[in-house]
Amino acid sequence: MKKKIVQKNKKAVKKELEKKIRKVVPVVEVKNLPKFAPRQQPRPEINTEEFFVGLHNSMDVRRNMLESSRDMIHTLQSYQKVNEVREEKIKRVEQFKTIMEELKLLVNKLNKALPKVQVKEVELRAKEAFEKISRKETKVEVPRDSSGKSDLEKLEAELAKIEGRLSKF
Amino acid sequence: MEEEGMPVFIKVEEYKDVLDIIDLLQEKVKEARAVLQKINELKSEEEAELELWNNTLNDVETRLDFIDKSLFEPKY
Repeated sequence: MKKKIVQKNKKAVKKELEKKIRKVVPVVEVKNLPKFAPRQQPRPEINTEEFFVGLHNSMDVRRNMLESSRDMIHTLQSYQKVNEVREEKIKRVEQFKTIMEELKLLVNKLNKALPKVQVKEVELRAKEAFEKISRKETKVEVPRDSSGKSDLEKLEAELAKIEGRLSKF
Repeated sequence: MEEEGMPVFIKVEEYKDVLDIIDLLQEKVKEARAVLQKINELKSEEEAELELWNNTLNDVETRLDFIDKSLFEPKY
Protein backbone atom coordinates (compact mmCIF):
# COMPACT_ATOMS: atom_id res chain seq x y z
CA MET A 1 0.00 0.00 0.00
CA LYS A 2 2.75 2.35 0.97
CA LYS A 3 4.67 1.59 -2.28
CA LYS A 4 1.61 2.38 -4.42
CA ILE A 5 1.08 5.67 -2.64
CA VAL A 6 4.76 6.63 -3.23
CA GLN A 7 4.56 5.73 -6.96
CA LYS A 8 1.37 7.78 -7.39
CA ASN A 9 3.06 10.71 -5.72
CA LYS A 10 6.10 10.36 -7.99
CA LYS A 11 3.91 10.39 -11.10
CA ALA A 12 2.01 13.44 -9.85
CA VAL A 13 5.26 15.29 -9.15
CA LYS A 14 6.61 14.38 -12.61
CA LYS A 15 3.45 15.66 -14.32
CA GLU A 16 3.57 18.90 -12.42
CA LEU A 17 7.25 19.38 -13.38
CA GLU A 18 6.49 18.76 -17.07
CA LYS A 19 3.64 21.28 -16.91
CA LYS A 20 5.99 23.87 -15.44
CA ILE A 21 8.67 23.21 -18.09
CA ARG A 22 6.10 23.50 -20.92
CA LYS A 23 5.08 26.87 -19.61
CA VAL A 24 8.68 28.13 -19.73
CA VAL A 25 9.81 26.38 -22.96
CA PRO A 26 6.89 25.69 -25.32
CA VAL A 27 7.30 22.75 -27.64
CA VAL A 28 6.94 23.62 -31.31
CA GLU A 29 5.79 20.72 -33.35
CA VAL A 30 6.95 20.61 -36.96
CA LYS A 31 5.09 18.15 -39.08
CA ASN A 32 6.15 16.60 -42.40
CA LEU A 33 9.62 18.12 -42.27
CA PRO A 34 12.16 16.03 -44.22
CA LYS A 35 15.25 15.05 -42.33
CA PHE A 36 17.69 16.74 -44.82
CA ALA A 37 15.77 19.53 -46.50
CA PRO A 38 17.25 20.69 -49.88
CA ARG A 39 18.71 24.26 -49.93
CA GLN A 40 16.21 26.68 -51.40
CA GLN A 41 18.70 29.53 -52.04
CA PRO A 42 22.20 29.32 -53.55
CA ARG A 43 25.12 29.41 -51.18
CA PRO A 44 26.12 33.02 -50.50
CA GLU A 45 29.55 34.14 -51.79
CA ILE A 46 32.36 34.43 -49.31
CA ASN A 47 32.90 37.98 -48.22
CA THR A 48 36.65 38.44 -48.64
CA GLU A 49 36.67 41.54 -46.46
CA GLU A 50 36.15 39.35 -43.48
CA PHE A 51 39.39 37.47 -44.07
CA PHE A 52 42.71 38.71 -42.78
CA VAL A 53 46.26 37.79 -43.61
CA GLY A 54 48.88 37.98 -40.92
CA LEU A 55 52.16 39.56 -41.97
CA HIS A 56 55.57 38.66 -40.64
CA ASN A 57 56.93 42.17 -40.39
CA SER A 58 53.95 44.47 -40.39
CA MET A 59 55.87 47.26 -38.69
CA ASP A 60 58.52 47.23 -41.41
CA VAL A 61 55.87 47.24 -44.12
CA ARG A 62 54.13 50.18 -42.50
CA ARG A 63 57.43 52.01 -42.01
CA ASN A 64 58.42 51.43 -45.65
CA MET A 65 55.11 52.72 -46.89
CA LEU A 66 55.36 55.86 -44.78
CA GLU A 67 58.93 56.47 -45.85
CA SER A 68 57.95 56.07 -49.49
CA SER A 69 55.15 58.60 -49.03
CA ARG A 70 57.54 61.00 -47.35
CA ASP A 71 60.05 60.63 -50.20
CA MET A 72 57.35 61.27 -52.78
CA ILE A 73 56.37 64.48 -51.03
CA HIS A 74 60.01 65.54 -50.89
CA THR A 75 60.30 64.85 -54.61
CA LEU A 76 57.25 66.98 -55.35
CA GLN A 77 58.77 69.80 -53.30
CA SER A 78 61.99 69.32 -55.22
CA TYR A 79 60.03 69.51 -58.48
CA GLN A 80 58.86 72.99 -57.52
CA LYS A 81 62.44 73.94 -56.75
CA VAL A 82 63.68 72.60 -60.09
CA ASN A 83 61.01 74.62 -61.89
CA GLU A 84 62.17 77.76 -60.12
CA VAL A 85 65.79 76.97 -60.96
CA ARG A 86 64.90 76.49 -64.62
CA GLU A 87 63.02 79.79 -64.75
CA GLU A 88 65.97 81.52 -63.14
CA LYS A 89 68.32 79.86 -65.62
CA ILE A 90 66.25 81.04 -68.58
CA LYS A 91 66.35 84.59 -67.21
CA ARG A 92 70.11 84.39 -66.76
CA VAL A 93 70.62 83.03 -70.27
CA GLU A 94 68.58 85.95 -71.64
CA GLN A 95 70.71 88.31 -69.56
CA PHE A 96 73.85 86.68 -70.93
CA LYS A 97 72.57 87.08 -74.46
CA THR A 98 71.90 90.78 -73.85
CA ILE A 99 75.42 91.29 -72.48
CA MET A 100 76.93 89.50 -75.47
CA GLU A 101 74.95 91.76 -77.81
CA GLU A 102 76.22 94.79 -75.92
CA LEU A 103 79.75 93.42 -76.18
CA LYS A 104 79.31 92.97 -79.89
CA LEU A 105 78.20 96.61 -80.28
CA LEU A 106 81.14 97.81 -78.20
CA VAL A 107 83.61 95.76 -80.24
CA ASN A 108 82.17 97.23 -83.43
CA LYS A 109 82.49 100.68 -81.91
CA LEU A 110 86.08 99.97 -80.93
CA ASN A 111 86.76 98.68 -84.40
CA LYS A 112 85.49 101.92 -85.86
CA ALA A 113 87.44 104.01 -83.37
CA LEU A 114 90.72 102.28 -84.11
CA PRO A 115 92.65 103.14 -87.26
CA LYS A 116 92.55 100.64 -90.08
CA VAL A 117 95.72 98.62 -89.76
CA GLN A 118 96.75 95.22 -90.94
CA VAL A 119 97.42 92.74 -88.20
CA LYS A 120 98.00 89.49 -90.02
CA GLU A 121 98.44 87.13 -87.12
CA VAL A 122 95.38 88.26 -85.25
CA GLU A 123 93.30 88.07 -88.37
CA LEU A 124 94.55 84.63 -89.26
CA ARG A 125 93.64 83.40 -85.79
CA ALA A 126 90.24 85.02 -86.10
CA LYS A 127 89.76 83.35 -89.48
CA GLU A 128 90.61 79.96 -88.02
CA ALA A 129 88.19 80.57 -85.17
CA PHE A 130 85.44 81.56 -87.59
CA GLU A 131 86.07 78.44 -89.66
CA LYS A 132 85.79 76.32 -86.55
CA ILE A 133 82.50 77.94 -85.63
CA SER A 134 81.10 77.62 -89.15
CA ARG A 135 81.92 73.88 -89.14
CA LYS A 136 79.63 73.33 -86.19
CA GLU A 137 76.23 72.88 -87.70
CA THR A 138 73.31 73.00 -85.33
CA LYS A 139 69.85 72.00 -86.34
CA VAL A 140 67.73 74.15 -84.07
CA GLU A 141 64.41 75.80 -84.86
CA VAL A 142 64.97 79.53 -84.56
CA PRO A 143 62.45 82.38 -84.68
CA ARG A 144 62.47 84.50 -87.86
CA ASP A 145 61.79 88.23 -88.14
CA SER A 146 59.71 90.08 -90.75
CA SER A 147 62.53 89.95 -93.34
CA GLY A 148 62.44 86.17 -93.16
CA LYS A 149 65.94 85.95 -91.70
CA SER A 150 66.55 84.36 -88.36
CA ASP A 151 69.04 85.72 -85.83
CA LEU A 152 71.32 82.83 -86.63
CA GLU A 153 71.21 83.59 -90.36
CA LYS A 154 71.94 87.24 -89.65
CA LEU A 155 74.95 86.27 -87.57
CA GLU A 156 76.13 83.90 -90.27
CA ALA A 157 75.85 86.68 -92.84
CA GLU A 158 77.79 89.01 -90.59
CA LEU A 159 80.40 86.34 -90.09
CA ALA A 160 80.75 85.82 -93.84
CA LYS A 161 81.13 89.57 -94.27
CA ILE A 162 83.94 89.71 -91.71
CA GLU A 163 85.62 86.72 -93.27
CA GLY A 164 85.43 88.41 -96.65
CA ARG A 165 87.04 91.50 -95.23
CA LEU A 166 89.74 89.41 -93.61
CA SER A 167 90.52 87.55 -96.80
CA LYS A 168 91.32 90.86 -98.46
CA PHE A 169 94.33 91.31 -96.23
CA MET B 1 99.68 98.87 -97.19
CA GLU B 2 101.57 99.25 -93.96
CA GLU B 3 104.54 97.11 -93.11
CA GLU B 4 104.72 94.89 -90.08
CA GLY B 5 106.12 96.54 -86.95
CA MET B 6 105.26 100.04 -88.07
CA PRO B 7 103.92 102.30 -85.29
CA VAL B 8 100.21 103.20 -85.26
CA PHE B 9 99.06 106.64 -84.22
CA ILE B 10 95.59 107.44 -82.92
CA LYS B 11 94.11 110.89 -82.46
CA VAL B 12 93.97 111.98 -78.83
CA GLU B 13 90.16 112.36 -78.82
CA GLU B 14 89.72 108.97 -80.41
CA TYR B 15 92.29 107.49 -78.05
CA LYS B 16 90.18 108.60 -75.07
CA ASP B 17 87.13 107.10 -76.71
CA VAL B 18 89.00 103.87 -77.28
CA LEU B 19 90.04 103.74 -73.62
CA ASP B 20 86.46 104.36 -72.54
CA ILE B 21 85.21 101.62 -74.84
CA ILE B 22 87.82 99.23 -73.54
CA ASP B 23 86.77 100.02 -69.96
CA LEU B 24 83.17 99.34 -70.87
CA LEU B 25 84.17 96.14 -72.63
CA GLN B 26 86.05 94.96 -69.56
CA GLU B 27 83.05 95.71 -67.37
CA LYS B 28 80.77 93.83 -69.72
CA VAL B 29 83.11 90.88 -69.86
CA LYS B 30 83.13 90.76 -66.05
CA GLU B 31 79.35 90.97 -66.02
CA ALA B 32 79.09 88.20 -68.60
CA ARG B 33 81.46 86.05 -66.58
CA ALA B 34 79.38 86.55 -63.42
CA VAL B 35 76.17 85.64 -65.26
CA LEU B 36 77.82 82.58 -66.79
CA GLN B 37 79.00 81.55 -63.33
CA LYS B 38 75.44 81.88 -62.06
CA ILE B 39 74.14 79.80 -64.99
CA ASN B 40 76.68 77.10 -64.16
CA GLU B 41 75.60 77.13 -60.51
CA LEU B 42 71.94 76.81 -61.51
CA LYS B 43 72.82 73.98 -63.86
CA SER B 44 74.68 72.17 -61.06
CA GLU B 45 71.74 72.74 -58.73
CA GLU B 46 69.33 71.30 -61.27
CA GLU B 47 71.56 68.28 -61.88
CA ALA B 48 71.85 67.70 -58.14
CA GLU B 49 68.06 67.73 -57.82
CA LEU B 50 67.72 65.28 -60.70
CA GLU B 51 70.27 63.01 -59.06
CA LEU B 52 68.24 63.21 -55.87
CA TRP B 53 65.12 62.19 -57.82
CA ASN B 54 67.01 59.22 -59.19
CA ASN B 55 68.09 58.12 -55.70
CA THR B 56 64.58 58.59 -54.33
CA LEU B 57 63.14 56.51 -57.12
CA ASN B 58 65.62 53.73 -56.41
CA ASP B 59 64.75 53.82 -52.69
CA VAL B 60 61.02 53.68 -53.38
CA GLU B 61 61.52 50.78 -55.77
CA THR B 62 63.45 48.85 -53.12
CA ARG B 63 60.78 49.53 -50.49
CA LEU B 64 58.05 48.50 -52.88
CA ASP B 65 59.84 45.21 -53.52
CA PHE B 66 60.05 44.63 -49.77
CA ILE B 67 56.33 45.39 -49.31
CA ASP B 68 55.49 43.13 -52.24
CA LYS B 69 57.49 40.27 -50.77
CA SER B 70 55.95 40.79 -47.35
CA LEU B 71 52.43 40.70 -48.74
CA PHE B 72 53.08 37.56 -50.74
CA GLU B 73 54.68 35.73 -47.86
CA PRO B 74 52.01 35.92 -45.12
CA LYS B 75 52.61 34.57 -41.65
CA TYR B 76 49.25 32.83 -41.35
